[in-house]
Amino acid sequence: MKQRLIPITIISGYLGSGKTTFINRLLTADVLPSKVAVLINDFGDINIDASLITQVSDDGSVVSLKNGCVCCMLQDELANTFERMSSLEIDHVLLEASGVALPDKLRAQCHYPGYFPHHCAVTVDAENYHQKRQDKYVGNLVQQQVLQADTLIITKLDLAGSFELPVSHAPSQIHSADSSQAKQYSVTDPQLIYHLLEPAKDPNNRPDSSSDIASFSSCTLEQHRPIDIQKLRDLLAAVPAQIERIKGFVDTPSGLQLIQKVGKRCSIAPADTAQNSGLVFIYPRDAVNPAEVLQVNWKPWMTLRGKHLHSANHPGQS
Amino acid sequence: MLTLFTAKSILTMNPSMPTADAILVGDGRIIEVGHEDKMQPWLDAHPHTVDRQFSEKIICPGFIDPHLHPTMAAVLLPMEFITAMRWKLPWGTVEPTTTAEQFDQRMAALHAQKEPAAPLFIWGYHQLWHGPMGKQRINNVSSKRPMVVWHRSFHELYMNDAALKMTEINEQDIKPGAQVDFSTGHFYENGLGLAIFRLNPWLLAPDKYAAGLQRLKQVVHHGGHTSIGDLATGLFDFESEANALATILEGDDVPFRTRLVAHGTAILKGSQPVEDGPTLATQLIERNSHRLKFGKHIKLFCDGAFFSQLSQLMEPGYIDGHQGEWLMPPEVLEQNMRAYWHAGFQIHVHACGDLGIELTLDLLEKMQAEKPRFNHGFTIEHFGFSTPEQIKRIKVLGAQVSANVYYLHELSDIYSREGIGYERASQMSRLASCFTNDINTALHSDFTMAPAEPLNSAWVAVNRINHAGEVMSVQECLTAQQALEAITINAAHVLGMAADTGSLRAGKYADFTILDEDPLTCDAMRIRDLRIHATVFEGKVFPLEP
Repeated sequence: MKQRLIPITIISGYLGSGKTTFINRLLTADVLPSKVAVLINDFGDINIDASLITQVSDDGSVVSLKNGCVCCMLQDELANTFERMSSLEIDHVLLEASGVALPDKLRAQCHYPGYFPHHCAVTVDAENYHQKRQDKYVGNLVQQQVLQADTLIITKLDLAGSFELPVSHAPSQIHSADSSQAKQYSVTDPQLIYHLLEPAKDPNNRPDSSSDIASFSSCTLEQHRPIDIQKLRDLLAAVPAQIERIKGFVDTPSGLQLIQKVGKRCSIAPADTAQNSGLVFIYPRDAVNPAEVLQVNWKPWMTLRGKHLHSANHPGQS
Repeated sequence: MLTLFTAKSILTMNPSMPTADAILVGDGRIIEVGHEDKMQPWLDAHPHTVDRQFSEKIICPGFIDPHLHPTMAAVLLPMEFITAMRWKLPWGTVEPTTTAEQFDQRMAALHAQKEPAAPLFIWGYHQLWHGPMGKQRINNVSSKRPMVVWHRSFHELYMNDAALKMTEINEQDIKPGAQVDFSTGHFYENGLGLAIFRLNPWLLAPDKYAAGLQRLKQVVHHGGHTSIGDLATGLFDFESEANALATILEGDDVPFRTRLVAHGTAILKGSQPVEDGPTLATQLIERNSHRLKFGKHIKLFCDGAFFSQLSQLMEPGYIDGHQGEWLMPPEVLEQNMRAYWHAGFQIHVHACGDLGIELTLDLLEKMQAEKPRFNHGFTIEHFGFSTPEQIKRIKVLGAQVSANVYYLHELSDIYSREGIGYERASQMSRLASCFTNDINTALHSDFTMAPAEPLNSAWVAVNRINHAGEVMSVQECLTAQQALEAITINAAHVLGMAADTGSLRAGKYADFTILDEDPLTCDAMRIRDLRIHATVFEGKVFPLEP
C-alpha cells in the first residue's frame, strides 16, 4: 500500500526575526485550514486564545484547536516528534525551526518516513538584517538561512520603512548563486499563507523534491564604459517586462553605483568598494529570454557575457 | 581508629611538601602527611594500626576526571569495541584494529562468541583504517543475526539485513535526501535520527541502561578515579538519569564521588523562562547524597562538536569551506549566562573552536562589566582550537580551562590534512601556554569521546604525540608534574572540590590512587602504561585486579 506523504513547511529564520510572531498570527487569526500540525519550539512564546483550545494532552505538549489543527511542542529530537505525531490525523505540518538551524539541514531531517519537506520560508527582520548579516558570530548563519530559503517573509517593515536584500555577498562566503530566486513576501501579505500551504505535489513524481520554488534564469551584462546616470535610469525603466529583478554595480561619471530593482521598485546608490561593474537580469525560466533585447539596448555600454542560460534552481544539500 | 599508610613515595600535589612517605588517615580524612617519625604525637594520642601494603608503591592524590558523561557511557559500554586506538577497559584491553581484514576477523570472532539470536552492536569503526563499510560486508559475517556497526564518531552507523528487519526499516520508507542509503544499510547525519529511534528499544531498555551504568562504575574505578564530574546531567532525560545515577552511583561499594552539573537548558521544563534556571538548579542541591552532589554549577553550550568538525572557527576556517554550528543562538547563551552569573553560579561552557571560545570570552567580559566577580570558577570546557591571544584573555578574566587533550592524539594528524591545516592542528590543546599564564588547567576525557583513563590523558599532554607518531607543537608539552596536577588538584578546582580532595594534606578526604611506579620520574612515554594497583576512597581500599 502506498502511503500518502505529509508535506512539511519549515518556518526558519534567526532569533528575533519574527518567526514566533508570524506563527502566533497564524494561530490567532484563524486562517489555517484544518488538519495542520504546528510544531513549536517553545510554548512559552505562543499565545493561543483559550476559547480556541479544545484539548490539551496530559503532558501539556500537544494542544488541539477548534479549527481541527494541533500545536505540538518539539522534543529534542525531531524523530521523536515525528513518531509521536503518527497517531494524529493531519494533512500538513508547519515546523518552527530553531534560530540557529540551517534550512538545508532541516530539509534533510524532514525526509522522515511518512513526511517530506515541501517548502522552506525564512523570516527576515527588515530592521536588523543588514546589521546581523555582518555580525562576527552569526553573520554567516543568517546569510545562509536566506540563501537556502524558498520564500522570504519580510518582517518589521513598518519599523524599517523599506528593505532590500544585499545584491552580492562576498563569493568566498556563499556557495549558491544568489538569493533572488526566493520569492519575497511581506508578513502581512494575504497571499502568504496560501503560498506556504498550497497543495503540495507528490514528491515521487518530481526530480527535486527538496524544494518547491519557481525556477529562474538569468543573463549578465558586463560594463565596458561608464554610463550617464540619467541614461542609466531610462534604460532600467525600459527593461522587458518579464524581468523580475536586476542587480549589480554600474560605473558612472559620478562613481560606482549599486543597482537593485525588484518589480517596479528601483534603487541607485553610491557603492563604496571597488567591484566589477555589470548587471544581472533575472526572469522566470519559462518566460521569453530577454537577452537579445537587452544586448541591443545596452550595447554602447555593456556586452552580454558568454553563455548565460543557467538554471537558478535551488541548490540541494550536497 | 587511625590508619597509617606507608609508601615508597607520596606525591602530594601540595607545593609546600611535594613528597612524603607516610600518610595518617582517620574517619575517611587525612590526619597528617609526612614522615612516620614526625607523626608520633598523633599516634601516641590515638589508637592506630600501621598498614604497609603500599610500602613499595607510589601514592598519588585520587585521580579526577572533571568532565565525562555517565549516561552516554551507559549506552555505549554494553556494545562491543573494535577500534583503531587502544581502549583499556576493566574486562580487557581492546587492542588496536587497524586494517579492514582485522576488522572483519574481529566481527566474525564476536559473532561466533555471542549467543545466537541476540543483536550485536559494534562501536569504533572508522573508514580511514577499516575500509568502506556496508550491509553486504556485515551480511558476510552474518545475515541472520542483527548487527549494527557504529562509527567511532557516533554520527553514522551501518546495519545488516537482519538489523533492518528487526527495526522494521523498509526500503520504501527511505526517500531521496533522507541521508540513508538503504542499499548499504548506511544511516548518517540526519538519517541517524531514524536509526536511533528505531534502535532505542534495544539501546535504552531500563535493564540495559542499568547494566551500562554498572559497567561505567567499573570503568571509573579501573581508570584510577576517586572523583568525577557528570558535566550535563539531563542530557537525555533529567529525571530518569538522575534517578538511575542515584541508584547505581551511590552506596558503600562505589569507590568515587560524582559532581553533578545540570544541563542548563534541560532543567527548564516546557516554557519556563531562563530566569527561573538558577532557582531550579539550586533546588537540585536538596537531592544531594554522600557521593552524588549538585552544587552551584551549571553547564551551558556554545559551538558544535569537535569530532564532527562543527566547532565554530575564526578565519580562515575549515579547508573545505564548511561552517561550524552554534548549539544555541549567542543571544540565548548570553541570557542564560547572565541569569547564572548574577546568581553566583560557577558556569561551565562547552566551547570547542576558537570562534566559540571568542564568543564565550566576549560574554564573560560583558558579565564581568555588569557584575564583577572574583574566584568565580568560570570554565571553558573542551578547549580544542584556541589562539595565543585568548590565553591572555582567559587569564585576565579569571577563567579556567578543562581540556580534552585526547583530540590532539586522535585527530591532529587527520585534521592537519582534512580539516584545518597543519599549523592549527598541531596547536590544539594549547596547554603549556595555560600553565605559563598561571591559568588553572585540568584534563578530561569527555568519556565516551576519549578513554576514561587520566594517565592516558596525562600521557598525551606530556608527549603530544599523535596516532601517526608525530609530536605536535613540542612547545605546548606539559611537564609530568603539570600533567599530574591537571588530573588531580586542578581538576578538583574545576569541580569546586579543592577544599576536600585533589591533593594530599591534613584535613582533606583520604582519596588516593596507588601506582606501581612514579609517573614523575618514569620514561614519559610509559605514563599511560603505569599499572594502577588500587584506589583508596575516603580511607577505604578498593583493589584493582592485576
